Amino acid sequence: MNDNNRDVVGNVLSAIKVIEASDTLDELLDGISAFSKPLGFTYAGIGQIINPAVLERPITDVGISDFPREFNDRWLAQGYIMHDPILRYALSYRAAFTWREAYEYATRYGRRIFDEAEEFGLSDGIAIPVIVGKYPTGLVSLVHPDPRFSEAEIAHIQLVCIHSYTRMLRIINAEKQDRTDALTVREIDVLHYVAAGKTNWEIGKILEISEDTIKMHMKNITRKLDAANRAHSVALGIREGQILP
Amino acid sequence: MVDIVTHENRSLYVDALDEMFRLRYQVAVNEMGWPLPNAKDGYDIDEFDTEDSIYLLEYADDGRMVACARLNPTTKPNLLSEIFPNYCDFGTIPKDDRIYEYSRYMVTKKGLSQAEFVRARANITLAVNEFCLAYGIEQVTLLTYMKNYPIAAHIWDTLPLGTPQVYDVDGIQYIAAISTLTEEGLERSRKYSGITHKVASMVVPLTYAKQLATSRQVKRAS
Repeated sequence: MNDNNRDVVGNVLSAIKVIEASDTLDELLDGISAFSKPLGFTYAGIGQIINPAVLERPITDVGISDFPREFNDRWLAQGYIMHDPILRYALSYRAAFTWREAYEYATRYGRRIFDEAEEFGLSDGIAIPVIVGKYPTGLVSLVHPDPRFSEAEIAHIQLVCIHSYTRMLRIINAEKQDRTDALTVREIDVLHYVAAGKTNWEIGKILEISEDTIKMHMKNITRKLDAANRAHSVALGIREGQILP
Repeated sequence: MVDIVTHENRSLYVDALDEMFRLRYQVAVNEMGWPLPNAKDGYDIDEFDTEDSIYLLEYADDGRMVACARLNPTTKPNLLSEIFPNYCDFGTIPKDDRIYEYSRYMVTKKGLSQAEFVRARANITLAVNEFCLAYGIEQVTLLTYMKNYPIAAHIWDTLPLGTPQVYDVDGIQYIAAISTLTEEGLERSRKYSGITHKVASMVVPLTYAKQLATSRQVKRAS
């Protein structure tokens, strides 16, 4: 427990209700701030961890933050999303973690992003990964100069973050974007072998069916996933949770 | 399709409920390793399996039961009120005739592909929503794995009833929550699961045919 320990419990339910009543991303951000500012958090960011190259909409539509404008613009312009150590850590570590913990595992380039953030007063904080069934992972990042909280406090902060993220999904209507047709059992088999680098001929031998049948399965897989080619099918199959990584 | 069993049609489901108690044991004890004190001899039955309980049963194409769930009125003793009230530390343990407790939501992995498993799981969720809308149940309470909470928050209008806590018997974090069931939520679930048709159905015994016939005669007379 730290010295700015306060009545998180009393506020968490009302904070969630405010967040669930928000209709725009700005209202949502206000709702998060109303809860997090009294706890000593200075900024909040929330978004989907998604490859910007696959997005059909501007990256600013899958996330929102009140981080300093100059840093935000720089982060977007420099393509930091692909290297940000917090985002990358959230993909492998699914519980709440502090920015400092992520720093330990950051690449040299990642640490540079971190150091730049520090110049804007973004030195430490808490990151809460949120997983709604499947990929992409959501992330809520709350900036705090000294993020030491008790287990119960983290549990409450996490609840608020989960609602912030799922509310954001409703606002941006993200489920539309990543809904694809389910693959058949055979198609799932085939795509696993494609992901392992096998050719159609090899997969035919393994599954004891003709190469032509494999070709037909591949055609259906790329159509269902709305993929451009084999590599794209594999990437989307994993992201959609249709095949094992 | 998911079959709904209430006290009105339970007489048609004697064998099915026997199969369900065995399915629950198979999933809870053998597949999930739940420490259920009442589960024994291959059956999972507890003190909340009462004549008020409503069951949802789902079958695979070959006729084998693969998934089930239970709804209990919160006006009578239930899991949250009797066993896990400590999970409701935000103040209220819901008790209302329009609120039911949703529990024993179980899907077997045995003999199902991943895709079939996901579909079976989604069907139960959709059926709960469809049934509650039809039956006048406005909200359900649930005690669920914390890792499943985001999906409940995403699909339904869900609020926590208390702080997520680790259950010391199995070391897993659970949360008690209450979800409001609406047409919009059903629409979201359908979109999310890709299952757009109705999945819940209810077979009623022929004794009801008499009532139906009577009401038809009344209509004809008027």
